[in-house]
Amino acid sequence: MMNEQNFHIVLQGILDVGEEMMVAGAEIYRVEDSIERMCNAYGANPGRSNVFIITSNIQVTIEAPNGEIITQIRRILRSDVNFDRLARLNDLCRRICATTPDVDELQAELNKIMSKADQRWPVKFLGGILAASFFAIFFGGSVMDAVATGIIAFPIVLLQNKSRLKNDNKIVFTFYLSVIAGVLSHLMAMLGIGDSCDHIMIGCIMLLIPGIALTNSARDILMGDTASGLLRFADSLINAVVIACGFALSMVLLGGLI
Amino acid sequence: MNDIIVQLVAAALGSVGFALILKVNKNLLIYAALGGLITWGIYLLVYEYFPSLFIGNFVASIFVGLYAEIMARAKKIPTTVFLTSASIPLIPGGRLYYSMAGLVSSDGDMFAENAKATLLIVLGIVVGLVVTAIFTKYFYRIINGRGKI
Repeated sequence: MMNEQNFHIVLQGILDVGEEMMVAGAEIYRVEDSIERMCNAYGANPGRSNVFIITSNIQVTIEAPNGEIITQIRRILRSDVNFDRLARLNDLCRRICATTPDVDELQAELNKIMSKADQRWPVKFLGGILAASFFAIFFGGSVMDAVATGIIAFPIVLLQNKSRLKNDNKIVFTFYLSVIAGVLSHLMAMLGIGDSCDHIMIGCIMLLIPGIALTNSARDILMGDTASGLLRFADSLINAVVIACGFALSMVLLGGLI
Repeated sequence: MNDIIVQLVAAALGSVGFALILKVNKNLLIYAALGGLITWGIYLLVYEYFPSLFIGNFVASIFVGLYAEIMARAKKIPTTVFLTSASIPLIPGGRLYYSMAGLVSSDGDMFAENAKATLLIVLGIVVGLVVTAIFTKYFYRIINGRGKI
């Protein structure tokens, strides 16, 4: 039955799933493995499936059941970490491997996952506030520092979700967020809402720091994906430096005033 | 003692905050809290006996890795979901800040001390993750009887 399907379209569907997994924040080796398993489940020659991913590029060459050799490449430029969606996509992969549905059904299942309503705004704000204020306390801040950090988390979360700059240039965006967070931290300290500007800023830094990129890149390197791991590692290091520069600028600008 | 409790609670709730930012399913938030809390607890415990930033973070990060692998298999959800939210308390945000503050205020000692600490912590986390990843890879290979070591 599978032979009747156009394998180009099947592979395209498989890549759609793989692409969304990358976008949702999966590790490289997981996506490579999932794509290969799905191709093999549809009857591709298992010894001749080649899947290779480097952060923003998926490439696959397979031998279709009818002997045709197919290559497709997918460029990934989005990033929208969503672990709930990732879990569902992972589940979908497992089902695809078990039942090999036809392409229309595959696309319908994928659409069902993709069209699931996004997190509501109160939840977004709650996440930002919890993370920022409790890490202000965690690193030695007082309750008032946590309150001040929680207030700053509002505009940060808003910008992270609404700003168009995010997709234009991530590094400039991170710098701009860091400067804003730094200036607001100083402002809070000047207004007397927080006790220590240091701890407010640390809370904000924790909100911006790319923890996920660091742990993922370490895992990528270990699992043998040195190239993509190093790319992501460099990316997270550059981000950390940019965050430090942004806060440093706010300190140079306003530090003398307090 | 009070300090420790405050730190543990903050680590747990902070991890939940991150889990929300990463859009983890709400049924799994409790595991983020638990992971963050135990991770930091282990770090504090190890640091008490071996006062080294590297060893403390190394052992705590081995725990995070194992915790994430076990939870991932139990819940059939990708490892990274648990790993990312539970490892957040180890991320050296404070040290990064103080090294930057040292740099801005031309305090060379402050910068050197904290920059060194940041690197040591990151190294400890990464090496710990290496150990767990290698361990689980071979562990499951042996269990599944596929191939030799």
